[in-house]
Amino acid sequence: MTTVAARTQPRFNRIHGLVMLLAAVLLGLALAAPHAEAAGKQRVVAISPFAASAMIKMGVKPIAIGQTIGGSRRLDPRLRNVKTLKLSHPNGPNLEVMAKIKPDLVFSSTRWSKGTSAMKRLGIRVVYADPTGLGQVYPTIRKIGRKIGRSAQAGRLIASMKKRVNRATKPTTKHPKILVVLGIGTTAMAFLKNSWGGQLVRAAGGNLVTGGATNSGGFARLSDEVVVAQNPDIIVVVPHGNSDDIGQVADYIENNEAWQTTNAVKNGKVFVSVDNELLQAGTDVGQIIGKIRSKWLKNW
Amino acid sequence: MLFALVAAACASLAFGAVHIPLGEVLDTLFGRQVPETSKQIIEVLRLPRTVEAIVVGAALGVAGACLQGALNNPLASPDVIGVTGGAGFGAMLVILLSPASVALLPLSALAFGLLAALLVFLIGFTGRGGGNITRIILAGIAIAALFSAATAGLMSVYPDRVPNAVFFLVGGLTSTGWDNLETIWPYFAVGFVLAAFMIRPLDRLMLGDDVAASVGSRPRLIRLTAALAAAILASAAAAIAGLLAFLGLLIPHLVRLLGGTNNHSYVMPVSALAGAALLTAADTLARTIASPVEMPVGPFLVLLGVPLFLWLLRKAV
Repeated sequence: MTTVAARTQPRFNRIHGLVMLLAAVLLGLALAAPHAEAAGKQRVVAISPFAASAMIKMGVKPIAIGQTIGGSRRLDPRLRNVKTLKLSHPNGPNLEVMAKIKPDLVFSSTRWSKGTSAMKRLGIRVVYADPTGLGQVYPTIRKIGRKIGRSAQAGRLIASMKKRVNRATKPTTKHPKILVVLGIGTTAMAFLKNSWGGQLVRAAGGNLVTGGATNSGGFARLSDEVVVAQNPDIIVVVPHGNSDDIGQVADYIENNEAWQTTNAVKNGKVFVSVDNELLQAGTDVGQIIGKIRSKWLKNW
Repeated sequence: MLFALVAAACASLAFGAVHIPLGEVLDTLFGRQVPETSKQIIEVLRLPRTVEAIVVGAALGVAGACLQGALNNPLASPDVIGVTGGAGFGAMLVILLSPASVALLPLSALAFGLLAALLVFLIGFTGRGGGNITRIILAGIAIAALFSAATAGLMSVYPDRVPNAVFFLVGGLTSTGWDNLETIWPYFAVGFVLAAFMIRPLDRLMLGDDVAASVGSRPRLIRLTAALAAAILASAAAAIAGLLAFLGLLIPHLVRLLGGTNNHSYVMPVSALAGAALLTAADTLARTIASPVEMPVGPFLVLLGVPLFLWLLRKAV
């Protein structure tokens, strides 16, 4: 009796374990199946231009996108006929409009976080998908891919982006000092190393002029004394929004008495960035780094 | 007070984001040979900024003294005649609607500051009962509210451009060389001269309208001229340094508490010196405390001025 019982006990445990495992697999499949189906059918709004661009490159068209500031040249042509939502601080899209178009999922940005809880109350899932640093680009694409059921396409997009970025960031011996300033006004807000534009400039080989300033926001009002002392070789101005006045913007910087002694102004190396390329993350990272190197860093 | 101003001006020239030995600062000022970068920083950045701080601080101190005397109201400041609201709106028009035309900002701030004051004077000084102090103050509050609402409206339409406007709104000097002063100095000159002419009439006005009239003064004209001088000075100050009207309220009180007299032949010039000294000192702090990042001067002005003011107030009581 003792021998039989001892022999049957492990067998019973093995069968019990198998049954449990099978149940767990079945439960997992049952939970995953409707989710995967929904991913194909769900109505997605991409407020962040990065998410809109990534989605369309993965073959999924959002039902609406957020407005792009500073021109629409970076917008994928396939998104041009998609409904565009106006965004306003700090909520992002108008919540009544969102309630009307009833998306299942919204790819948003932390800059619109104040509207997130209200969207959630409307029954909308909100996912932040707007990288603020180069290191977040590929993980964000993977996240978007997972949420819309296009993980394989996300992988392919990442591979192609990596190829372009690697080409654009080939080692260079040119490291000019570059000051990047946001907007023009009574104060110059300098891009710091942790800003999106600052990271792109450094990836292109530029030596970003920050005077050692740090700020979690990525921008700081840099002393003109530091600008004169560090003497940038290149100054890039990033206008707010509308870039129609590019000529005027460059003129203003070139005539700024405080900066006239810098190499950048003396040698006519004052450039104006367009299309929010140094402010707004996009899937065109490699192209923009390439542009910085070929247009601004060339002939230095 | 003169000593305080000289000390603040010396500190403003000696300290900045870039360390320059004191000897080099003095050599630059006396035209001797120094490294090119030090020369540029002193001549192009620090010197014009120090002069701006002195002129703007003096202008706001005098504007406050003029207004408090003219309106016989200790709470009067450039806010009360709408200048701050108007100048803020003028600046926002340029910064938010046409940022590329930022070179026009001082002129736009000046023009709208004066326009706001003009509207207040039109409402406050004309018609039946014109020149009544309560009417002038209420008209000022209404016009200021109107321009503030317009400014807020603009800011909500262009939220992405607001960061560039913040430094103007909280008040701050910039290192733009002599450009601003070259454009605005005539307004300062007119304002200071008008204010100087108002010293004796304002003293007579302190005795009351009836007494002033009995010795041949015209209270309504004195009030209007003094308020006009204050409006010109405050608008010119806002054109260069943004909205620092608080200085105009604080300084004359501080000066009266220090001197123990309301006499304008004392209050007006000493307010000019005190305003200049306080703004120059606050600007030096704002430039150096978080170097190389520059902070707006407004909060430092309050940090320096308010404790001193409260201490004097407590002592006086």
